[in-house]
Order: sequence, then C-alpha cells, then structure tokens
Amino acid sequence: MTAGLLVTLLFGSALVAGFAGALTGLGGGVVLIPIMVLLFGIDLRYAVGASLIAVIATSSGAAAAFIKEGYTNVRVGVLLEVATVLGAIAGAVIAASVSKDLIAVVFSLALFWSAYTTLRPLKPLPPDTHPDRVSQYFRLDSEYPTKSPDGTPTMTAYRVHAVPGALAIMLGAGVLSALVGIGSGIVKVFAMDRLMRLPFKVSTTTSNFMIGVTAAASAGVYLHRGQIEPAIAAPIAVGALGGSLIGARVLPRVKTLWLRRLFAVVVICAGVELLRRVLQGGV
Amino acid sequence: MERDTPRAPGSDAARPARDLEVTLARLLTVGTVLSAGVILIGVALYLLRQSGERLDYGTFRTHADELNAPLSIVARALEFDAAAVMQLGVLLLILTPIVRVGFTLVAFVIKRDWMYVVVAGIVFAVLCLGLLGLKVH
Repeated sequence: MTAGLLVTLLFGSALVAGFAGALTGLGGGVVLIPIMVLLFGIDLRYAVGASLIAVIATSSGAAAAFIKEGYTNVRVGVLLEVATVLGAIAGAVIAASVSKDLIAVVFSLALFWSAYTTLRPLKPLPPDTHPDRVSQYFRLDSEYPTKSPDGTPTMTAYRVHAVPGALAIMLGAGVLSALVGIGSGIVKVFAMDRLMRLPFKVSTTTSNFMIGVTAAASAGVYLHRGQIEPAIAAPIAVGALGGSLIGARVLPRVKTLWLRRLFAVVVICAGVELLRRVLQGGV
Repeated sequence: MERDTPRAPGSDAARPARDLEVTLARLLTVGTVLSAGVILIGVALYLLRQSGERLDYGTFRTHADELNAPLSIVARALEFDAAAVMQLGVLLLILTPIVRVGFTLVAFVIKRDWMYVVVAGIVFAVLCLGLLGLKVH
C-alpha cells in the first residue's frame, strides 16, 4: 500500500472509531487495534504504540469538558495514578519480552470484557456514608454537583472507601493498559465504583483524567523502543481525537442502545478473529 | 464537619481549587490542540512529499532511528522532515498529561499540601523516567 493511501485510510477509520468510542463509552483503543491489525495488516507492536497515542489524545481532548462540570476528584486521581503509572512502566517493560501471541490473547479477553460491560453497564451502588480511616488520612472525601429535589443545583458530599484494594487493581490496570495499548477505563471505573464507592459520574470523569497520564507513562517507553511509528500514530491520533470530539457533541441527542449492541458485536468478532489467528500460527 | 448536608455551590472555601482545576483542564485543551495542529502540518507535508512511497508495517523492526528520542525528534522536525514533524506532534501529545501532572504538583506546593506534593511528585518522576531515562531493549 502507498503511504498516501495508508495514512488517509488510517485517519478515516480512526475518525469513525473515535466517534463510536465516544458514543458507546468504550473509548477508541478497543476498536483501533483490530482495525490496524486485521484490516491493514500492521504489526501488533506498532498498533499498540499508535493506540496508546490515540488514548492520550482522546483523554486530554475530553478532560476540559469533564472537569468544568466539577465531577473529577483530583486527589483520588493523583493518588491512584501512583499505582497506574508504576504498572504502566512495568507493563511496557514486560511487553518487550512477551510474545505477540500472548499480547493478542490478553487483548481479546479485554475485548470480551469490554463488550460485556457495554451490554450490561454497571448499576450505580447507593452511597456508603461510613467513614474510612485510610481515605480520611489522604483526605479523599469530597463533594460533587447534583440537583436537589426542587431542581436547583447543589453540592453533595460523598465518602471514599477501600483505597488499598483500589491501588492494587490500578496497578493491574496500568500493566494492562501498557501491554495491550488501551486506556483500560472499564477496569478503573469498576474499581472506583464497586470498591471505592465513588458516585458514578465521579468515577467515570476521574477515570478519564487518569487514562491519559497512565498511557503517557508507557508511551514514553514505547517511543524509545521505536514502537511509535509516526506514519501510523499521527493519523490514528488526530482521527481518534476528531471523532471523539464530534461524538461527545452528538452524544446528548442520540439513543445509544442499538449502537452499543452493534459495537459489542463488532468488538466480539474482532476478539474471536484475533484468537483464531493466534491459534493458526500467530498474529 | 457537615459532611452530608448539600450546600450551594460557590459558597464554599473550595472555590479557588475549582478555578485551578478549570485552568488545568484548559491547559490540557491547549496542549491537545497544539499537538493536533503540529501533527496535521506533518501529515500534510508527508502526503505532499512521500505519498507515493511503498510502506510495509507487517513486521516490527527495532530501528536505532532518530525518531525515538525527544531531542533528536525536535532537531529533525526543525529541518522540516515530514515524519519528524508528525513525531513532534505525537511527542507534544505525550507531554500534555505529563505537564498537567507537573502543574498539579506546583498547585499542591502553593497550597502547602505536602502530602500531595509527595504523591504528585512520585507520579511526575515516574512519567519523566518513562519519557527520558528508561531504555529497554
């Protein structure tokens, strides 16, 4: 394939993937890697590097809108980032000596879990108002904007729990993110919602805030290893960024149920195809 | 502390912290727009000059290229090498969240919140290590 055609096609597919990722809440990375590997025959190592760059772009591009709404808990984000960035560096280092097939298998499993959570989104748990010693030591309890019953905007306080457990999961999320080139937002949201018992909107926005930082940690290592190929990473990053920004604009006005179902099917097919290739002699 | 009582926004002491968060969020936006702009210039240059080149990314080759380290990327981008300009945009994109953590660190110093100065400092140090120091072969 000529350079001009490849760059144009990569940009176009990333635009669509970023758009669909924003509408379904799955993020772009999950479909970008199958597109690069399965449709364009790009080596998985380049695909992982390019996808990480797209993950940084979409996370940073969306952050302003999220933070203005006042949901992000910066202390929780920074504290958990200690675990995610250490995990990300470890994951990027491990990736050098792990076979591509193993990475493809781990990625397929991440795809299946993503599809599952898309079809069965987490149901927010009621708040847990018991104080927690570790969380109080780190002053993590905070408040977020809500509407009172009569419709006027107010701030509602919430308490944070299970910090050590969440740190352990975040370490794993960092390794996963670096190894297979995704934001692993679903793992982060899972830990913050189920374990730490943050309000759901605080979980999703704080997760987005952390995703870019986590990906930046491993992207640095990948850059040195030559896995960030500009002719692949550049069109993928701007395409995904553009698509996700358009997606975020359209989101409040569309019903996403059927789109989520369609997306889940695509993601499952991609995972199955990757596994099939591994079994048939490698990706 | 009246932890569980809803209060009107804007009437609390957390106001300066909120303003800081918004400023930091704008920083991310500026960084993203800037990097996307540089990438687009690089892509345009690349399409103009190298559009007909045959590419094969089917196998990963570890190359001791100048496009692997921040300083040489900048040097080659200044010569308007198309791939290097694209890579400079990618580098700026990687730097955006790192700079943001740096500013968060400074904000904690200004607030004399020493515990979080240490926490943000660890994150910032690990990020810098990943970008500058750690070479794995």
